[in-house]
Amino acid sequence: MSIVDEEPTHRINRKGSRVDVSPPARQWLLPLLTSSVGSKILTALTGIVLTGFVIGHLIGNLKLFWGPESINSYAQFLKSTGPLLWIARLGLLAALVLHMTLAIRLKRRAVAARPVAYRNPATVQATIASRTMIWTGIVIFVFLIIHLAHFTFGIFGMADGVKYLDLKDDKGRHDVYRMVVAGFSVPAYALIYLLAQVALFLHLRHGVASVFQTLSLNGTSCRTFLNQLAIVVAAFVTVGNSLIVFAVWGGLVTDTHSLFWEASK
Amino acid sequence: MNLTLHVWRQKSRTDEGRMETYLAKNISPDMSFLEMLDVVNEDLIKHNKEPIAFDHDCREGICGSCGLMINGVAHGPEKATTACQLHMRHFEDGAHIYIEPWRAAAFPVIRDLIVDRSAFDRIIQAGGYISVNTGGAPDGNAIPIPKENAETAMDAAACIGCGACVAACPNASAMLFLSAKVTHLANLPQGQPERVQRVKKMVEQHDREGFGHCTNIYECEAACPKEIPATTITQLNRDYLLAITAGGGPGARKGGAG
Ligand code: HEM
Ligand code: FES
Repeated sequence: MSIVDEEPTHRINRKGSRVDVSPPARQWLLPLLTSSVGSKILTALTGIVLTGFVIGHLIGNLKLFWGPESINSYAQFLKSTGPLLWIARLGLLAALVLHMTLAIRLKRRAVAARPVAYRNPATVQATIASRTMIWTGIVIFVFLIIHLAHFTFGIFGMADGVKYLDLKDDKGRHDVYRMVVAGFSVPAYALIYLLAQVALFLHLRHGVASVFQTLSLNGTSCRTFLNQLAIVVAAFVTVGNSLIVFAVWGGLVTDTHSLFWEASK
Repeated sequence: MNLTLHVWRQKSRTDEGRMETYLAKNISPDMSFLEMLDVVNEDLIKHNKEPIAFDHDCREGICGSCGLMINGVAHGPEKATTACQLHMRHFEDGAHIYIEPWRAAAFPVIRDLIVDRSAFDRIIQAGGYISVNTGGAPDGNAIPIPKENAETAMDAAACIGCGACVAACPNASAMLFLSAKVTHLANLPQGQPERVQRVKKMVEQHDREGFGHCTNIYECEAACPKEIPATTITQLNRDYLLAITAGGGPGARKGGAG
């Protein structure tokens, strides 16, 4: 190790060890944001946040099967948390932006790392899911925009001539239940949701297993288990979300009836 | 057996290069892949044509010189086998075989199937060593090393630096090569004093050379003729994370094994 290139960023402490005394940002933030291994660690950490959200979001959505009271009061509760809700939203947005920015930059570097393609390429053991992360990610992002415009901002879509955000239930709360039923009754909209679920399945199927390797949380012999775990998590999210769409299509969930709810007229 | 070869020909670093087709006739199934190329080259020389340039040295699977992309798979279809140890009996008579050089920005083609792998040397120079005084060899077993650490280090040290991991990786990442060296030294007491700096500098150099990142796809592991496991990349990820956040983490400077 040369003595010259180790400027004053290091110091010998009383025990005789070399310690890094450069500003904290230079010690860990910069490598995390810029190096390949560091960027990947941040992609994984933000991926965990997003995966957690997707699972929580699904569990909330499943309340649809218990009728309007269940899901509308839940929506009301979320809104009542006020600033907390906004902190969560901003946190999620930050995680998403960081996740995408780093993932896209890594992908661009990877493309530059192989400027000449093989004429006769082959794959030995990589899954399709693992090789399409950027594409499934982009599909998820486009869907996210559509989804927010649809249900969160109510920019398009109507229920019996009433805008989604103006739907009120008998207690004067936003009627999320009827909004969702109306939304998925339009086959074109519902198809977009189902398509996005396929992309989400593939993304999580690789992502959930991948996180353990990136953060070195896996042991030497658990790759099969982690692969199965990833499939279970991905299937749970995708099947759960898709069930809601299919239940509306199949008439299991209507304005007056849901799986575990019967309207008392 | 008779084969049709589709081979990448490129005169120099700046030449554009192209695939060309050759017939390999009367090939014995007992020949190695390189011996088959020797036969084709002798025929080319006889006809006053430029022979196909390919890298080789030991021809016994230990030097890591012979890097060939055979039908899109690094070192060809056999597991844990270098191109020089690959026998022609693994191919069907009359088969078409595509032979290309390793493809990576960090491995520029010098000629035909030969690439410049000095990027690997620079990654090693950045930290893949231990600083010790030279002199008489120390006594064997003078430093106790737990069996498990010794085994992990030995498995990682099996890397011959052939570059198949880079060639096989869709991101042209050299992470398996890099992690093999990091794991090798991180599991031995002699590797401890420089452990924190080593992983940081080697990753820095890896990125500077223009290799891509790891997307946990494990094509490298499947291609590695020495069967270096991707768990070495797990170790690399852990060492790197601890090196940048916790100065190596608990026990990093104690100088103990692993
Ligand atoms: C609900 C949204 C999302 C979730 C739950 C999610 C989850 C994950 C997870 C868990 C990983 C694994 C990280 C690792 O390999 O260690 C990952 C990787 C990745 N994500 Fe996402 N992600 C989401 C949205 C997106 C979006 C919008 C993009 C668009 C660019 C994207 C692009 C990627 C890419 C390219 C990778 C692979 C990174 C790499 O290996 O280089 N993701 N994602
Ligand atoms: S020529 Fe030495 S490993 Fe193949």
